[in-house]
Amino acid sequence: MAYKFKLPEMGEGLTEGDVASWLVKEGDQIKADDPLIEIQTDKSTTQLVSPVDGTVKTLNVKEDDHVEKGDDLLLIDDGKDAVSTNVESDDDDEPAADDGAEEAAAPADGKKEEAAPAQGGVAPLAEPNKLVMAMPSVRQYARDKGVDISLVQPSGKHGQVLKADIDNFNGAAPAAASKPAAAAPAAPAQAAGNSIKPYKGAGEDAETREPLSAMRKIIAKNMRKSVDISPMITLFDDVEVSALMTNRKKYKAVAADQGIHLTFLPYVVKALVATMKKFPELNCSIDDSTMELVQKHYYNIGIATNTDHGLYVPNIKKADSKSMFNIAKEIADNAQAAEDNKLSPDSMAGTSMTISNIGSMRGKWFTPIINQPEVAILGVGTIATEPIVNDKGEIVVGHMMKLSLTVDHRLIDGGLAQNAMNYMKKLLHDPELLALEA
Amino acid sequence: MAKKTYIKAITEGIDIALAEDPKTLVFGEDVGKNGGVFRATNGLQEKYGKDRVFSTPLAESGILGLSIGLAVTGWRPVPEIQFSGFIFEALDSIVSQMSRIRFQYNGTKNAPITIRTPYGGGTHTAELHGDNFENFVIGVPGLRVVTPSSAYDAKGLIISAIENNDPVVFLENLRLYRSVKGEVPDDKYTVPLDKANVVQEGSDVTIIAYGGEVSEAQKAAKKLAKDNISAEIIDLRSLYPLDTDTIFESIKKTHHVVIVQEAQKQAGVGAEVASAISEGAIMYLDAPITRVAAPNSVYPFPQAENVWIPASKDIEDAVREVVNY
Amino acid sequence: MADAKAVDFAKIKAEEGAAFAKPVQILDNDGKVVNKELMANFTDDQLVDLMKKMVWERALHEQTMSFSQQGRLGFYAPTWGEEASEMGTAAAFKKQDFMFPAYRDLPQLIQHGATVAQMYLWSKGHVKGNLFDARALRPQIIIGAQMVEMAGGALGIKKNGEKDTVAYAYTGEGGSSQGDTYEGMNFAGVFQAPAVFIIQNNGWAISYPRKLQTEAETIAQKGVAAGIPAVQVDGMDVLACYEVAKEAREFAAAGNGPVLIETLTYRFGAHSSAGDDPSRYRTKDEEKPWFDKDPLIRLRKYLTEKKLWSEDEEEKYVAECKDDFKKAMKEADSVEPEKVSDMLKRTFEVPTPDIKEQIKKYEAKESK
Repeated sequence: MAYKFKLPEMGEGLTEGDVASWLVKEGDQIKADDPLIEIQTDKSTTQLVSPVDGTVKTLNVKEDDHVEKGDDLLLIDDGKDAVSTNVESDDDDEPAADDGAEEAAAPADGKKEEAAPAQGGVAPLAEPNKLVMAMPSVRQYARDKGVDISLVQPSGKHGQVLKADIDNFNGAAPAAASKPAAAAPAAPAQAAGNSIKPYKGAGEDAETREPLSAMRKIIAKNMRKSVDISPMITLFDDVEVSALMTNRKKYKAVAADQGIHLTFLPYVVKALVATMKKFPELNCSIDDSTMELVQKHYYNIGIATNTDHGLYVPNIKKADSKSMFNIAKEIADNAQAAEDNKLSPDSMAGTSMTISNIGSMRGKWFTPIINQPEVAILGVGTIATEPIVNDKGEIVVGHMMKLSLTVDHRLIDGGLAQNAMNYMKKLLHDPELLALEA
Repeated sequence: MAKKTYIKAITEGIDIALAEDPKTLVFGEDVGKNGGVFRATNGLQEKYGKDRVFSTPLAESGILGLSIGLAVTGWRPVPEIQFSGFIFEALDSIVSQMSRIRFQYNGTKNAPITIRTPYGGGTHTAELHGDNFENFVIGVPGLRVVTPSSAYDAKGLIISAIENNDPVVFLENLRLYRSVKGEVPDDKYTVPLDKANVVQEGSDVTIIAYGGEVSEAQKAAKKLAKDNISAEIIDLRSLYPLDTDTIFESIKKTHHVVIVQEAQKQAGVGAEVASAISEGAIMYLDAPITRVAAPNSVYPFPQAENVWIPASKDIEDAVREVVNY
Repeated sequence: MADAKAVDFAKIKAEEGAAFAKPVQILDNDGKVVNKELMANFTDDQLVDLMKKMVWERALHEQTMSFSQQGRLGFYAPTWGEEASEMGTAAAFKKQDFMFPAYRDLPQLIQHGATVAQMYLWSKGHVKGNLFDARALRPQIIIGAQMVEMAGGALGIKKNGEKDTVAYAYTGEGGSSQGDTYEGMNFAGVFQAPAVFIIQNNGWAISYPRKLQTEAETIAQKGVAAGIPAVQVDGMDVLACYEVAKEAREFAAAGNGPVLIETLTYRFGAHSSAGDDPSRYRTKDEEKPWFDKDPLIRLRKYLTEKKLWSEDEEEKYVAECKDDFKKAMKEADSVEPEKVSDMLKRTFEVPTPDIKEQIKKYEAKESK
């Protein structure tokens, strides 16, 4: 039914130009080899001619328009059923569909890379033991022997681990490294992303396949990336929050008068900010390109927000200087904006640390994944009613808020993380203290 | 068996090629009556006549362009470029023309041309008479590049090169022409164009060399043996393609490697060997891949050659560092 | 003070050029016979045949430019204006002769046995464009390279003992500045090889004019340096071009060594289809006299007067030719693109180990 005349390459890499003039107009009868259009390239003005006989149906570009190779210039009714064209689309030239989708649905880490203040843009090192010096043969040797090479004391001239060091390794961490060995040994994990193996299934009858959605692909990529970058440890804990519940009950109505729905989350935000002030390691990033520690002097608390169209992490900017009510309002506003797909990139940029809340779904503990390039994430679970033993040794009813704190072990050791957790618990247990500290 | 020089072995190889295939032509500057300035074609014009062995006007591009025309009219040219320092005049014929002929005509035409040219230094020749050409040609698709390090290989390789139906750059190490002698059978034999040669076996380190550096590596190995360092020496023989199988096999055994080249270090054969090892055998290495090469200066004037060209002591030092890494 | 001089350099310079600046001509611009004796060499059929060849070449140019502007071709060097030079010389050679063309010589290559479809494939960039049934190499891109290669081809022909056979190569006046052109002529001279060097002096090497290409008054006189006979011919006169090429061919084929021909012609159009615009470097005033010399005009006039040719006939013939070219384009379009694995397979007779691996990799990729 039609012939789509597209801008061909006009020789030796001339792939773009401006429309100098149209030599036909809509409705014109044309023959093959008739001139159609003049394109001004940066070398010369080039005339393009028609490959077919027919009637000019539509002109798709105007004079002075800038056109590039493959652009539809005009449609010619050539009396044929099929649609044909002079320029085959070149797959390599098209931006991959995935990339486009990534732009549209902001990735789970919530921000474009350039907006993140501390992100070096450097590919993560797949090797968690990156500070270990050793020849590849020695690393392989260690893997074969099941030895975590990061624990081996090097004796090489250049500070490197030798095969002999692996042989002499007795399984104990060297005295110098007194960090708690909380991290699971990374050995067998072996960066699964490195080799893509096809999934071998049970056969067509038992299973069906469909392409992963663009959103799922992005989430998968970001999660994979985060795990590759950060060796993570997660601490599980809980805290008795009866006093906090009373406090919330008391002020809920006040908030409601101002049109604000007061949840527990603003309390957690406040407690987290106070904890980060006391433990500034939580408010950092690592610049992999320079191996520098970036200390943030702002407290933008990200709230992981789940929507039908993706995971987002808008943040409460300068949460340290905002009132509880303001924070509550902002959380609600951000959630709505995320739902409506109206979050600005800025609202997701520069997060200090993120809170992920599954309490509303009655979840308890989980292992949240760090929102890169942050170094910690707090998982908030439900408040469960449980028998507890109080200070007097009596079994009483307690309201236990479940907390899961994931930290990047590159920077934060288990001990520090637990101290931070303990401090945060203290604040959540005692709203008056929280009011004083936050 | 008689001991023969490297250059005598080359002459014998060309002689056999001329005798076996009447389509073989040998030509270049002074190669006819004079037998070439190094006498590599000595006596061949007398034996095969002026139609088969002849001198040409002084024009390198003409000589190699002529070779292409002869090749496509059914001949098997063996042109000589008097010194590889002069070959850049003819680079178009090599890089843009003969190397592409099989490709251009889907194998319906080919260029069975063997370009012979001396390379390397150490003989205190005039400026631009000594130089290293191999770094330039190993990156040209469609060309084979070989260089013998012994008289035996010289004869066997030149015969294989001439018999091959693709263009071969046959690099003759200038220093070895008369300094190397070896057992060379009088009869015809061939040495494959793409196989490296394990010159000596060893267990502690693999020394990879070619051309004039193979004998330097052998000298170094003798010294190292006194300290119980056992070196395996591989002569690449073929600079393209690389015989990576032989290289990897050796490294699996020794876990240490030193690559030696007479040419400047930048972008050379050694770099290509090192990256092949990185891709194919890095897991077997106990120490970094190490190169011994000439420094990245312009090829020196004769007075500085002795220091500039890598010698056995340089190889020995590099090996000691690598095995004690 | 005596000031006797041994040498009059200015005079020598003038004489060097004058010796060659005498282009052979049979028909002048107006279609008048200027050399009756030579004219007598041609039969009516031959004259019509040469006319048809030129008309064919111009039609080929027009249709090819059109395909090029439709974006269906790659590199193409227009031949408009050079029909006499190209068809006249090409007609003088025989099937057994070995042709070494350059990129503006597709029409001669087709005359020598390649098909139009193959030339379109060459332009589009497909190996099948080089697999023609003609004793020739593909159009050379590196200007001058064909001249040394042709000397080798001619020497090969001589060594093969081939009778009545020559090698011939084309380049332009720009190509005459290449060292390889001299080396080729010199080698062919030294080896007394049956070679015909044709330099189509079309006035322009892209934007660089003939007068700046060499201080020599003619290109032909460059033959003197190599000691080979040379001649200048009116490149807009197809009869003169044919006659001179035929005689050159006979001279070379008889074992007398090489010949150099300079044809004086003009590139009416752009250097290539890749956006060259002659108005950037030359004026209409310069072009005008050359358009008056259009090689088709003079022979058309002559033949029309003799009732051997008519406008109707020409129109019909052009339409026929263009139909053929359209069919050829279709044929070229229908050829499957090349596979990288096939390209790898033809890099060496016996693939090297690294290429073997790459063949496997690309075969797997390309079988999907």
